[in-house]
Amino acid sequence: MSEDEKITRMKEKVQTDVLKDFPEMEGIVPEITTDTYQGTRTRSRYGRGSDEISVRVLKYTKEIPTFRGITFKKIVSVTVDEETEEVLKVAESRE
Amino acid sequence: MEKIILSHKANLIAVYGNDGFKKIHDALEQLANVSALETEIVYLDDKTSTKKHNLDPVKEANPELIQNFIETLCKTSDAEYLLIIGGHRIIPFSQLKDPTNPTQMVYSDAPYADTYQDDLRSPDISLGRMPDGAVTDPGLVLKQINTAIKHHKGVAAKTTDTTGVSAKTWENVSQELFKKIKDQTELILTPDWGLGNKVPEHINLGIIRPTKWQMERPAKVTEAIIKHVSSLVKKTLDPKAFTGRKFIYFNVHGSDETTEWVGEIMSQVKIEGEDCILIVYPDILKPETIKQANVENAIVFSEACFGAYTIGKVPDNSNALCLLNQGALCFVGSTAVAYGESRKSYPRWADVMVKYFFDFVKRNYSIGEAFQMAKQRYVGTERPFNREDLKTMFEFVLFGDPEIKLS
Repeated sequence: MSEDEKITRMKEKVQTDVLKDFPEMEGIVPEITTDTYQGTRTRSRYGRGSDEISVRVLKYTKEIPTFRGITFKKIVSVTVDEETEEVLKVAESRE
Repeated sequence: MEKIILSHKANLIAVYGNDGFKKIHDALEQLANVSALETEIVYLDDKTSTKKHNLDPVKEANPELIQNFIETLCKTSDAEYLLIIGGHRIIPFSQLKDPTNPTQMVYSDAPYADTYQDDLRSPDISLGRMPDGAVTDPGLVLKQINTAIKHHKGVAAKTTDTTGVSAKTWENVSQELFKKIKDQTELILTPDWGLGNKVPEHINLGIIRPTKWQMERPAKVTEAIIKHVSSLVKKTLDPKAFTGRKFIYFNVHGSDETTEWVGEIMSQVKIEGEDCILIVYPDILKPETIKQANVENAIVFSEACFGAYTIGKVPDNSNALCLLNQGALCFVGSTAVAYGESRKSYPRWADVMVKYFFDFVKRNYSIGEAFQMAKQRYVGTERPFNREDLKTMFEFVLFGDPEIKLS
């Protein structure tokens, strides 16, 4: 699978599984980064000794103007396991 | 030496004058005398203060030099508690690169508590600070010191139970956390107001969909929206809800640009044939509300973004400073954008800090130990440990005397 196809599939999965709870993020194009995190604490998915997982982080940022003239900013950051495509974490800002 | 009270003499004098400095120093001596721990006051820029520890004074507002000073001081004196007196202009916060956005910095006390210097900034000592923002008289600092003195003397006012306030959007996780903190009270969800026919000053109302109505819309559409929102928002938050509380918990929005913390409600409604999604951010807390309550001796934890950002602030435009000025025992909050669980019930990021902090406080650890152990436990349990986790470790700070415990 090409990189573009992989990204498209990941974005579609996040759209279906996660962003359905965030209608305010409709149409937002995420910023996507790659990272490596320490994985499970006591057991490794890859076996003994390997405790790192590669992830993609999809960061959705939306500015929400309000009637009062103040603009609120919301960030939703979705961490996806690159290998299994499992959504690991969904962070929402308290801003 | 078990506890160090650390400040910068020249900076205190520059801000408060010699008289103000003397009042603060005298109050600190009282605090040291009533402390159960062997306590010493150290002015890091004053040679007579530092030479006892074979340290050169640090006069510059250089966090790296200050960090090295604190590390050596705590290791050589064996101190496990550190109370910093003053805010950013007295002893500056350290600045760490924001793990979620490398173009920005996070103000932090984490490096000062991390005397064994690890990448995750896990604290090795119990550290608290008594901030002073940008005030011009020593009253705010003196109030915090006197609150601690009264508590150590056992003459502090009694407090009971818990108040928790949450944006309705985060109800699930807030309920999960709140049931572990509270005794008899119920969680307050984003309060509601009667709106009548116009949007009052304290409501922020936004339209998510349709986008064509976000900035301008027909008058009858505005009227219909307000009528609908008025069915969601009915009454204001009563300051009595905070009065006399032992623990106060907020899971709400905050900003570095506005004073108020706000809640959040999303609502779907059909207007003029269009499927609308509205988002409402009602004001929840501001200094005027705090002053109407009695928050003496409350332990307050807020997940709001920038809840603990006090640089350039005064009690009239900072909920954190106002709470401390009104006698809160301590305040735990974030100096930057904070994160929490979005729609589910298990805690993440700031929620986890809340959970662990109150858990340790309720088990009778001091607030400094509770905060230190909350961060240590956080590092040990959260996997995968991502950039928001690291930022959470950096950005949450404790304002208050770390020695204080509830019994």
